[in-house]
Amino acid sequence: MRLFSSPRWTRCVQVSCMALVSVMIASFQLLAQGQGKERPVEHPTLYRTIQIDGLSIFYREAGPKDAPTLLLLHGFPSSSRMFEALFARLSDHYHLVAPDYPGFGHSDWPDAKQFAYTFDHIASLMTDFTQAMGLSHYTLYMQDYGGPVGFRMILAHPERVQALIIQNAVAHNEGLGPLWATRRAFWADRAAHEAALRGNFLSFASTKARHLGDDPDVELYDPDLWTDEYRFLSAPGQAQIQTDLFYDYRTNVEAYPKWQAWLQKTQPRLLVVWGKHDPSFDIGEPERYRKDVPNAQVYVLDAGHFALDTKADEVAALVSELMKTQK
Amino acid sequence: MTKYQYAAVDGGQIFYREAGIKTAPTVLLLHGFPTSSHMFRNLIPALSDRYHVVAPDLPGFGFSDAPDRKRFRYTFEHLAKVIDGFTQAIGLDRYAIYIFDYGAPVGLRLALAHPGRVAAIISQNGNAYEEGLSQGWDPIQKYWKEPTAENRMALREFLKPETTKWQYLHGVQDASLVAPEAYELDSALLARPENDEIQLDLLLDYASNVALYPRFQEYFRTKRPPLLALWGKNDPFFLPLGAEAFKRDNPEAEVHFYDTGHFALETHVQEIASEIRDFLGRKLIRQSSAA
Repeated sequence: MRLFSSPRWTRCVQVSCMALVSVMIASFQLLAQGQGKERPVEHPTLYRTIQIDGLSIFYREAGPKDAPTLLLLHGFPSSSRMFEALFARLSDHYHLVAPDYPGFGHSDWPDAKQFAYTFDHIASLMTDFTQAMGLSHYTLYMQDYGGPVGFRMILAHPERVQALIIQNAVAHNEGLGPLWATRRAFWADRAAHEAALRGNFLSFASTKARHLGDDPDVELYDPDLWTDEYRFLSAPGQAQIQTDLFYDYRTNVEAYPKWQAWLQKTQPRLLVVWGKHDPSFDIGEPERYRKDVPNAQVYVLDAGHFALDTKADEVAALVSELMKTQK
Repeated sequence: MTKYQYAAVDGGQIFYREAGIKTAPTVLLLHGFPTSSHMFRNLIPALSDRYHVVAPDLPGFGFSDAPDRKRFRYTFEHLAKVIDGFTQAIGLDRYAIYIFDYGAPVGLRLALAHPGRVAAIISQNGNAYEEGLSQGWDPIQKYWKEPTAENRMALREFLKPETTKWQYLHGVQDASLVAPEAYELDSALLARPENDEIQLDLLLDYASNVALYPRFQEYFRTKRPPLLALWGKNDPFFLPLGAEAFKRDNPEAEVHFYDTGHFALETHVQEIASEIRDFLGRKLIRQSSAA
């Protein structure tokens, strides 16, 4: 069974790495099955809201509150829903918290005229969210937009971060693949390129392609994933909200050197998990993180941009292994 | 691992979720209104280590084709015929059925047509008795008696997003246990063009299910299929009396209630999975050793 495909240049000896991960997954699945008949799940996922800075912020929470916390930051155009599969696999052992950003999922979507949709603003709200929730230390799981939100949260409070999991989130200019030429043009001249960007960025076809990429295993993807996202994207107000926020994405590119410097200086505990069928992020990006943090654990999976869609067992095993040694 | 696939049936595409080893005993999961196989997303992995689990979307629901009403009669008889064709298309010749809401009249029609194929019945708020129908059915029954445009219009209340959300939350003790994507997805699919008319056609035809209740009951009495009723006791449409009634025709029927609503799987999936594993473990083994 081919669970993982590692790039040629990986430093980890491929065979032993794969064996290790296979054992991890096998023991993990046994653990899950052992729960079979007799006992109900101890830690169901709860779907809640909390008021932060006058906005209703929706979040999923599960697991024992005294266990190490895993704070999960979602990507575009998803929501905390993208972590459902991880909740099902990890919540008996860890405290999982996954908020929806304002403008996403079931959190409030204030009008773009009244609320500045910028990554700075969202990160500051998410920092306030962690404070309101009493989360003083956590491991961060960052996917896609979770990267720019999470790195800002880290730089604001580096002392809170116990470890990082980066899954298909970029922090190097070269990580933005060829698809980004039209997006960079939009950042350079918004008025001239906005119509073209909206047509592509918010379409049903793009929403679906963001999940599938060039993954040949299409039967492993639940079509509800993009149906759910497209329902949100098509709602009134969303086009303006998402276009504003995406215009602000250029500030992430400007901040990449700062994030890299922090990684290089701090050498955090870092797990990089990368779905290789991602249509928009460059496949060389995971190795760039390893250059910043030579002790990083780097795994390239036979999965897409939303790697949890099809490889939840594998990702859960890797996350669990990292969290197990958490103090 | 769950696979998401399509089968060609009568010239249309039927979407289905499938998990588990194909040689293991099959459990066929039949969903209700206004949802799809998505309602089984958490039950499937809780059964698939021991069973071959298959969950199709009915025509007009989920990701199955929703053919135009001019070309396709939206009746329960027709839905059952398509699902029967689906089981043959993917090669199922014996299966336990899990019937919920609309899944009951579909699944029980399969049982009447092929009693030898149905190894066991798990009814989760899947009704087959008149005393199980609550007053929530009054506006629908009025439409059955007088199928006027006005009475049809009144049933559009059932298609609104707020009604769908209410169906998920009514009778649930802790609303924070219910994942919002469940009703969001249902509403997204209900909002498709023409889907409202399809759903109203089916509400009209539901009368044909009530007319068949005596035949379903006769089947329970004469064929004695192993029967497990798992019932959200606060269901606003199907009363606990409907679950108790199974015992009248089959004294060996096992009946369990949960302090929850219509979509009991949203809050009690582990409890329900445990009962099913225990029940099928006893009933399917006993049947095969007797055979």
